[in-house]
Amino acid sequence: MFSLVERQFNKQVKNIRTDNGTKFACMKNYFLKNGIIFQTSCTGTPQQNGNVKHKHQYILNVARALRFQGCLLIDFWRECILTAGYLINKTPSSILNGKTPFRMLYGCDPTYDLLQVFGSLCYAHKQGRLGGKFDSRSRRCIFVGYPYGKKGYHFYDIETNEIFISRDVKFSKIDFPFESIPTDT
Amino acid sequence: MQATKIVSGVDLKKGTKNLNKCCDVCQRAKQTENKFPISDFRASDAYELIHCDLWGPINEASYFLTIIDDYSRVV
Repeated sequence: MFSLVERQFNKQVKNIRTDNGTKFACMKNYFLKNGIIFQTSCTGTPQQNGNVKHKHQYILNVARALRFQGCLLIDFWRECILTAGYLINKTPSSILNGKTPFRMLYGCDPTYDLLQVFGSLCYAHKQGRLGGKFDSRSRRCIFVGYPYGKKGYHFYDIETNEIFISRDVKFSKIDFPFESIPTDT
Repeated sequence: MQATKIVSGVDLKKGTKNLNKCCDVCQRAKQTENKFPISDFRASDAYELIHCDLWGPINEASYFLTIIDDYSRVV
């Protein structure tokens, strides 16, 4: 991640703030070696890490909304969280004076024409057509996210239960295939 | 209280040297957490300060790591 920041934004990470979790303790030596200031909160004081705690609340709120809109099972939590993060980065924020985090980082406005309805039914073009001329030409799937670094979308195939990336897709936008299945499990 | 004559019959002069001392009984009985001020620090440039935290567990042992840049608030 640090080399990504350095190469993409020509910036060096200077401070890292987190809580007292042991999960970050193993990286202490790395921070020390690279001159990064590692700030941890006092025990029992999550307020000192409030920024990220509030963001978790925000992410979870959006992710829950995505899940219930698509009537998805809890197994899709990863896709919900990642999509929530993607959407939040493109949502204007009052703390940034109405700008989006995307704009603050890249200096230009994000495009919104790539957004799709999470969990909605779509038909992805079947590549290869192994089954011959009379076989189905499409796969019934639902939209589950935006892959990083690819011009396409993530889909979940309802029939074969696999997640794949495609760009040759028709979106129905209003049908949610999992609507009839209860989401409590 | 004595000066404004709300209470009478208490001679404060007797114990004045102990008035501002940290009292063991008071601390044990009444100590609270310190006030937590809202931070007004904002990073002035991208990636000057980043916040990290792990969220979970979900489905027994799965977590996700959130990394936020303080300047742009990008997740």
